[in-house]
Amino acid sequence: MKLMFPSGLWLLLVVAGVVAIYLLRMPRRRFSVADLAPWLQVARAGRRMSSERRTLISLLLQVAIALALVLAFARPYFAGTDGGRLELVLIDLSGSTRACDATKLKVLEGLEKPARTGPSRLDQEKLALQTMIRALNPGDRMTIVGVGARTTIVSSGESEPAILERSVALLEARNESAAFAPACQLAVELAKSEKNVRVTVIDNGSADSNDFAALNNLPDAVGKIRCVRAGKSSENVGIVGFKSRKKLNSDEIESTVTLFSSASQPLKIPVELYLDGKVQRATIAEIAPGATQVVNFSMDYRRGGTLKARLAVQDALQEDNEAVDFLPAPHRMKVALVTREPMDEKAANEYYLARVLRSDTGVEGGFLAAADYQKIAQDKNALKSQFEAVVFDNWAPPANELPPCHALFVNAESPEIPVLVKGVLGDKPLIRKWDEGHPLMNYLNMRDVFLKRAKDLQLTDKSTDVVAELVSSPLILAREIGRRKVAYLGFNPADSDIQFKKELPLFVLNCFEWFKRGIEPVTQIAPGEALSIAVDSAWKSVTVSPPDNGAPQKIDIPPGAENVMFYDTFRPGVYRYRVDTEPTPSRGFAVNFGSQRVSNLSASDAIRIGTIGDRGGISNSRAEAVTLDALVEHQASANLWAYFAAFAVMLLAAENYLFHRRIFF
Amino acid sequence: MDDLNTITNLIARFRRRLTFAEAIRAGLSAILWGGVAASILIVAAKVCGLSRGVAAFSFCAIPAAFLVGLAMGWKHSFRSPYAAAKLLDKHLGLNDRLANAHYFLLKDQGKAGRSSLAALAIQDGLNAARNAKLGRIPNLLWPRSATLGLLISAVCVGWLYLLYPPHIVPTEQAVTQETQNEMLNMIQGLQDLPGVSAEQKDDIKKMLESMNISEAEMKKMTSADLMRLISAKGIDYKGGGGATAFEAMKNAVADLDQIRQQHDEFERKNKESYQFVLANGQKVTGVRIATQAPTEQIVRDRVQRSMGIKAAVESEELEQLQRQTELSAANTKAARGKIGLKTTAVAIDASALLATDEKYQKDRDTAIDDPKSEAALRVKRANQDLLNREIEKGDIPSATAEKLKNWMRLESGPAKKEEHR
Repeated sequence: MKLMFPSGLWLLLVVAGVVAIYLLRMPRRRFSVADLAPWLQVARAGRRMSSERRTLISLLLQVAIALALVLAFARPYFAGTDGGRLELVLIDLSGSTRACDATKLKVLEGLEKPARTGPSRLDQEKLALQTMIRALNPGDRMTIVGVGARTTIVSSGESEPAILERSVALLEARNESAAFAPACQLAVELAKSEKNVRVTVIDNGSADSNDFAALNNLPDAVGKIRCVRAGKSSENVGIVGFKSRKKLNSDEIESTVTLFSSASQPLKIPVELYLDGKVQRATIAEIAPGATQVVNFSMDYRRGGTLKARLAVQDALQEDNEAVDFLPAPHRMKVALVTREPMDEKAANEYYLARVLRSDTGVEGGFLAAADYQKIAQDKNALKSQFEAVVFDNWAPPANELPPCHALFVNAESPEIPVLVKGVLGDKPLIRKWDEGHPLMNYLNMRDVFLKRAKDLQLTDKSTDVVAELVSSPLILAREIGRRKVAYLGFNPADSDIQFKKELPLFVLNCFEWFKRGIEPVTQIAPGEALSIAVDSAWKSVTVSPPDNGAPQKIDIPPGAENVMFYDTFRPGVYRYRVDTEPTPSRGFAVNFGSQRVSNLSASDAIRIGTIGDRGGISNSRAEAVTLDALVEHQASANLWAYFAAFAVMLLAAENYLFHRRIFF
Repeated sequence: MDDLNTITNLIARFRRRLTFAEAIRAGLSAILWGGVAASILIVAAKVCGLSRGVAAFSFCAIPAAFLVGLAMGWKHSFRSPYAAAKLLDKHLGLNDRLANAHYFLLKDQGKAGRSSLAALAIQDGLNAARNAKLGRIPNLLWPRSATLGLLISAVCVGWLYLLYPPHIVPTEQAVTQETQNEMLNMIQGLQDLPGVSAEQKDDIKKMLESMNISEAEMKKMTSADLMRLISAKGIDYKGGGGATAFEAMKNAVADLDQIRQQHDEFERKNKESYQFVLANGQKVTGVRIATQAPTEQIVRDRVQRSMGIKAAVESEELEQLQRQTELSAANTKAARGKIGLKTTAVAIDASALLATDEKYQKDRDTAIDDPKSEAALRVKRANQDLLNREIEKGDIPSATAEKLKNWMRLESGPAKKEEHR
């Protein structure tokens, strides 16, 4: 006979306590008195047994009761083996183990919150593991391998059940899908150095049999691989993909929500899109059983914040009913309009080019006279920090005063657009050709544009693109110099009817859109994925604030670094970061997890491990499906504790009856 | 005789007071049972699936119980005048003087002579009655059960809130009052827009009838609920272009709030000065170009567009310009096709020139020379009408179209701006 909880034998100290109490209860010391004392005779008259003997019997009974109780607590059993085995357990910790299979699928109304019914799949897996721990024989050890996208060793060769149970209690589902293949390879490596190994796989049915192929490399001595499946097929609809992006050449955001249904019937699911907690778009998606459905939302890009897609539904797995993305605040490009002559506020705002700037909500415009611009140009830092684009109208600064940013030259030449002005074409020149594919020409129709006069130009550099041209001369030119973009208009719009047409605002708007184009910051990553944060040379540190008011993490920027890495991205949600010069975080990124494998809660086929035959099937599977009860091999003897407990109760009752009723004493 | 009536009147008054006090007391005591009944009724209403409003009727059990208690108390408080006199004596500490006087008064009523003892007793009672003071208000004792009853009634209110939690929509999820007003105005104003045909009017009317969401309903709903409802109504509506119109109305719920917020941000920024402080401390001041802040008009335009309502034409030359545009495009396409051009570049020739109309050419030339002239205004209007048509066709993305509309508003000048507001 062995004990499941040998540590419980420490309770035997209670027996010492019982003995101590009885020592105190022993009859008092005898004093010799005259035998004639009549009261002694009277006292002995009704006694059947001496008090010494009575106390001793009572003590023995009490000790027997205490021993029975302690043994019951220590869970004695008759072991099937001699011990010394290594139990190697692979436990699925993927996102789908959060599913509560008993939860009924229903559409939520208004502020209704989803409810869960029954235990989660992880709870069932833990129960299975705890059952295995209780079934360990003395000398047995257990290695628990947690399986997610990353494989982790939860417990390595541990023999103490209490420690193992504690480790199991701390297990949590991860925002990952289960990658069993590397975990199985690890199990094979771990098994190599052991003589007596048994492998058990506890999964929730989301894994594919092919993932377990590596377990076939286990030595034959390992025998059958026990497979315990927690959970059953249940109905679930989840978001498996969610991404938002700014549409090209448009101030609109397009959000794509990909849904997957493992329900057994077609469903109509309300899909909602929130920005910082406020609903922006809502629709009802019809989704067939086992199918994937894509829902697109389009909305104006007016504000940044946390974008959240939500399915207003209650189902087995609630974690996949929401997905997040980070939408950076729309950037308003700082643009200066520079003209030769100064203008007052009214005149500047009514100027035809200023009106175009005013109509663009993506621009923060200002007007400067040439003289004022030249003052600013003396301070190179100001020139760099204050402008992102400059429009030079009929005037251009000398080469040493050019801004280090994007520029649009209107009827003004600059060394950055190397052209030779041969003269003026004054006889209503005709626009002959334009490049519809160039970003500056989006939605433009130059066919209708009438010019009174234009410059007769000769292009002297091949790196410059001719966007539109007259019969004998280029008209609109564009050039990219590193990250900077420069555009040139070879006529004065005031000498054309373009100023009354949509072509002028469209051209200027296209210029700004073209200027803004560049590498988009990463706004969404998967849990655990490292993020590279691009940094400016003026920054000294970046402080990242995790979701749900987690403790901020400061990252110092080494001198000369162009980016820093942030690794602690395991928690889904929106992370915001700020640089040392900012009071509040304005940038951020989202950690979002979605996987069809996790959202698919329909039961997969039983695991089969073995050599694949000619027909692609496995004829002799090493996998053995095991139920929860079958995990304890000494089930019958494991209930011995109940007999000990019952014996203790019986003794207690007997002692109480006999001692206090004084039947024999 | 009047003197003798003093005793009977006093007793009658006291008797009435006693009846009143006991009825009130019984009524107040009955509140306890009213509270218990109300609690049970609320639970029953919940179990039967009745609404919160219906369940609230359970509180009627409390005043009903009070009234029943009052009636029963009134009934049970009946006592003879002699018994009332005894109580009055006890109340005033008169040692049965009034009761005796009343007894002898009733006993010897109608007899000519009374015994001297009776006369003395009556006289004594009369003296006592003359000096007796009942007070202005009856002496009411607040029963303990009434306190308990009120407590149970209060618990009952809590019970109702517990079983039927109040429907409070969080601010961030509620449809704002401004949005509600704007949407109602927008819906009401749709039929009166210029350029709406009789057929469209009928269509709009049908659509609005099927949409029909009251203000009270809107208050109870979250924005998501409202959108979902509009979606559902859009699916039910079988009209021609209803689907896009319902979609536009649905999106308006969220867009209106965002536009208002952005409008405020832009207005705030527009008021800031445009100034640079250079490294040497020198300040350079320019002029801030005030960005045209977005208005609710954007949403109205979208809804109108979704219903196929076109902007009113302001230019006489629109038709001709449109025809010429199409003609020139066709000519160009044909010319390019003939020479086998397949590049993305677009080339034109003189024959494809737009605006061959002499009047327009004259106006255009004048407009270039004097952009503030009448001719410039006509050219602007013609081009804006063309642009409106292009936007209505949907070739230009909505955000770009919005910017172009901003530009048109600014180009149209102050008079037009007022109209847009």
